[in-house]
Order: sequence, then C-alpha cells, then structure tokens
Amino acid sequence: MSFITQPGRIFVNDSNSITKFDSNAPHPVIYSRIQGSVTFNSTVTTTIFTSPTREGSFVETRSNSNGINSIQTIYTAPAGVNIDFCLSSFRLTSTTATGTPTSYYYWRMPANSWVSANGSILVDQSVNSTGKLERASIATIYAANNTVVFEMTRTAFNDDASGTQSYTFEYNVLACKVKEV
Amino acid sequence: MSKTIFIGKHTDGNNYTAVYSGTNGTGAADLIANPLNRINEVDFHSSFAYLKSNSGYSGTLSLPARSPGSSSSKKKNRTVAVPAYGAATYLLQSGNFTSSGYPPIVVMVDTTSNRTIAGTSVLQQIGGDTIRQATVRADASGIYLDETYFAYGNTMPAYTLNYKIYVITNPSEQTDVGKAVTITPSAFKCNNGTFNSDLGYVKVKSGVSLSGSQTSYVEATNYYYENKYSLHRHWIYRSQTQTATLPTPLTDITWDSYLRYDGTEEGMHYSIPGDTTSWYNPDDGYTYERGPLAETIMDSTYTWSWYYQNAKLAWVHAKDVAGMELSILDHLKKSNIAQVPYGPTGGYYKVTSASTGKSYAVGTIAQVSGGVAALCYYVRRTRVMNTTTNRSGASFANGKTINVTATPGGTSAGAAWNFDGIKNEYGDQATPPTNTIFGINLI
Repeated sequence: MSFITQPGRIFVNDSNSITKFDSNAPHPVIYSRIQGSVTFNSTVTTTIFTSPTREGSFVETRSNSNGINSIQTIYTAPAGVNIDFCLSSFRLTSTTATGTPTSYYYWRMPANSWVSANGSILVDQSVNSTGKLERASIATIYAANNTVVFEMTRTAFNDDASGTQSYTFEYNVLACKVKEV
Repeated sequence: MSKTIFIGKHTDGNNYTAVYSGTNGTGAADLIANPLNRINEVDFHSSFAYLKSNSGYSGTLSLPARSPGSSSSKKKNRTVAVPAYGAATYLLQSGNFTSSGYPPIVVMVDTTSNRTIAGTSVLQQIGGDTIRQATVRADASGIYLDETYFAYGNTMPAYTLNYKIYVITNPSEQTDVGKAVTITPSAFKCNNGTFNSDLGYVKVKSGVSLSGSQTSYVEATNYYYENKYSLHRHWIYRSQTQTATLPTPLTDITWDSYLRYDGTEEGMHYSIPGDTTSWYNPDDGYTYERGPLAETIMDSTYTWSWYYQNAKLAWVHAKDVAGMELSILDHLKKSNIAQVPYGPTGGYYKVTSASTGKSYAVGTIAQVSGGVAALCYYVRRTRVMNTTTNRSGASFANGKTINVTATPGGTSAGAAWNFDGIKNEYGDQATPPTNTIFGINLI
C-alpha cells in the first residue's frame, strides 16, 4: 500500500500498484439537501344535464376530474452551481384521493413511508371490473436546468367523484453534482 | 521532488496529517512556512459532502406467479378470462430507518439483471395486458417492496428477485471548511531515497534534523546541573580535599542518582580517575559529556575559639584551634547536632563533651582559603541513533525512496522528527517485516 501525494492530489495504490483511491477522479458530491412538502389538487368540472321526459324533465349532474399535470420547482441552485442529478425519496402524508366511482379495484401507495423516488412513482391507480385502467397517478422528482422539480401527473376521468382530490407529499432530496477535480 | 509531511493536532481534538510535494523547504513553494496554504486543495478537506451509503443489504425475494381469473357462464356454456390485479407488500429488512433524523433514500439493484429499482420499476411485462411492477420504500419499521400487478391475457411466471439495497440516511462526509486544519509548525522534509520503514517505533523530539543520506544521528539531552533535592545530575571534578591534594583526582558523574540517608548512592553514579570531558558508559550505552562550569567549590580551613563558664558564670577563653576542616556551623549540621546559641557573643554555639559532660561555647573566628577543591559542571548524555542498521529497506511501490533531509522550514521553531527507532519491537527476527510505515499518536 502506498500513500502518494502530488500538488492538490492524493491517491492510494495497493501492493500491485493499482490505484484504489484517487482524489482526482470525478466523484459525486452532495451540494444541498432539500426538504419540504408539496400539494397537488385535481379540480372537478361539474356539468348539468337536463333530459326531457314525458313526465317532464330531470336534471343530472356529472363531475369530471380534470386530472393533474403540474411541475413545482422545489429548489433552484445558486448561480455558478451545476446540479447534475438528484437522489430522492418522498412520502405521501395526506390525500383525499379515492378510486373512480366505477372502480372495481383501487390501489394507492402506502402513506408515511419513504418511497425511493429516483424514477417515476406510481401513486395510485383505479381499475374497473372489466380490467380497464380508468385512472393512474405518477410522481417524479428530477433535476433539470439547475433546478429540482417535483412533477405529478394524474389522468383525467370524466365521470368521477364530485370533490376535489388532493395529494400532499413530503420530499427529501439530495442535489448532487459530479465534482471534476 | 521532496515530500513534506505535516502532522498536527487541531483544536477540535482531531489529529490531522497531510502530505505535500514541496521544493526545498526554503522557497515560495515551501509549504512548511504556512502549511495552511494549500490544505483545502486536497479533497479530503473539501467543503462538499460525499455520498455515503449508511447501510447495505442483500437478499432474494420470490414473487409468485400471477394468473388471470376466469368467469363461467352456464347460460352461455363458456368460461372467459377476467383480469387479475392487485398488490402485495414484502418486508425485505426489519429496522428503523428514520431514527437518524434523516429521511431514508433507498436504492435497490436487481443483481441478476443489474437494473436499478429506484422508482416504480417494471419487473415483467407480457404482451400488452400483463405487467408486474415494484416500488421500494423504507420507514420506521423496515424496508419494503410493494408489488403491483395486472394479469389478463397471460399468466405471469414467478419471479426471483436477487437484490442488493443501499440505504442513504445521513450521507454527509463533510469537513467543516472553517476548521479544516490548524497546524502548529511541526514538520520534516523528505527526499527520495531509501525509506527504511521498519523503525519499530517513532519518538518525537524537538531540535533534531537529519540531512542527506545520513544513516544515523546523535541524540543529545539538555545539559543539567542538579545537586539538590533527591535526584542528582552533575559532573564534578574533585582535585583536593581540605587543602590536601588528592593522590588521584576524581570525576564524579551522576545521572538520576539518589543519595540515601545512610550515605549510599543509588542510580548512575561513577567516580572516574582524572579530569575528563567525555566518558562512555558501557552499562547503559550513553556517552556522558561535560558541559559548562556551574560552580567552583573552594577548599578552606577554619579556626575555632573555645570558651567555658567559670563558677561566677563569667566566660573564660580556653583555646583557639586552627586547621579545622569545617566551620562550627557546618560541623553541627554534618553531625546532626542542634544549633544552640551559647557563649560570650553571637556566633558561638553550645558543644558538650560526650566524655566529661562539660559544655563549651565554640565559634569560628577565622577562615583560610586553601585552593580549589572541586569544579562542578553541567552534564548531558548522548547516544548514536542508527536509522538504517538492520532495517528492511522497504520502499514505496513506485520505487522512489525517502531520506530525511534539511532543517524544517527555517521558520519552524517546532518539532522536527528524530527516530528513536533503534528498538526493534519485532524481536530477533532474521528478516524484519517490510512495508511497515511509522505512525504517531499526538496526545
């Protein structure tokens, strides 16, 4: 084992002269830890149908979920700092989401458990009795243009429950850059 | 290219070591003068935090086959497939992964396919209507995998997931940039040369530096002249006692010697004939050297005067005796006799005859110098410290070697190193171990 130095550099070789550590090798460093919470709402559009009958007319109210397609910036790096990627986890802290009225099967991610969010996360899904996927929600945290964003998409459904459905997440993000020495 | 090594203890309680390339210890690029100059260029002392996985686990998880359901119709006398969908949760590792105060980030790797499962990942997909997904998560009770599946046109076969999990809770390996290193100048410089690493142990001592390809150095103590209190270190040349020249002058050399009450001497105490300035003691391997003169002891003789009291209590002069070795006071002290003032005037003390019981007043009335009795010098001891003898000669992997060279920095008043490395703590091995680098614990 050799412990070798050069100006501004340290490296360690093993007994076969193979470098086991080199401070000049690019390596990821954590620039900032980002914590907070975000809320996404799926608004509802109400449509009133009036239908004539022989006995008169009746009114029928339908609620259409408009879905979610939202990007919230949760971190902006200071000038001169390049964020290369981020490592993230988030947890669902509260929600009013429900399955579609005609759902046969509704699944939602467990609440208050830190989900590894280094890719897109399936938040919930609603399937009807024929196997048709009626609605799904996806959340993603990623770094782009020196910012870190929390993106959520939720498919719209045109015969949904009448109330606004919301999701609140708490996030924990490590904004990283690759240090080029 | 020389190398410079810094070792220092920071006020945060940590010991820091840094190694740099330098030039020659005297130029502008010399880092000894200000070792903090470039310390933060070394990434060990970066202000960034390094990614660190706090824990890792490996395991195997068997996911069962997922088959579509079926629906029978007696009326139509047929059975049709119906979708099967659902979710299952699997505990992968028990434990509290939020107790550190940092939310956990879990990264899982499918070690069979080497795919990262770090979002909702598709494990299997058959056709367009059969799919199995996995999501990993962690909380205060453990690490879990959530399976969500959907099977319609096909049966999804069982899936064996060989995985490795990395959990990042507190990833910080961060050095506070504000207190990267504070070093009191204390350095030595090394050139290429043979680095003899089998030193056994290393001792730090100030004031010693080695140069060139020097293979040994002389370690010297400070000079001492201590002849009071319990432990004595002194070098005394005695040539005369009470005006009588000694037949053979003596040099008394003592080092941590102790004069017992009964007059015996413990510790190192030798009387060497003659007047000398250096003496090698084969018993301990040290050479003792005479230092500067500390004091001169003169030899003198004294005249005592004796009085006694008659029946009328008047003082009567009895006799004067010259040539006494000591003054009356020194005599009382040496004989351990109480000093009781007694006599016609001050300076007289009571002396009682042991045979007759008669008391006299005795005083010193004259002193005659008889010449120098002894010269008292400071003393130190030295020892040759070999740095290469019987050493293994292990070298760095690149073949470059190190010798200690030059005085530290010129401006450094702090410690250089010396190697009190003669003591081979490996015993009497014929072939000393190699590749042993020395270290030091500063306390």
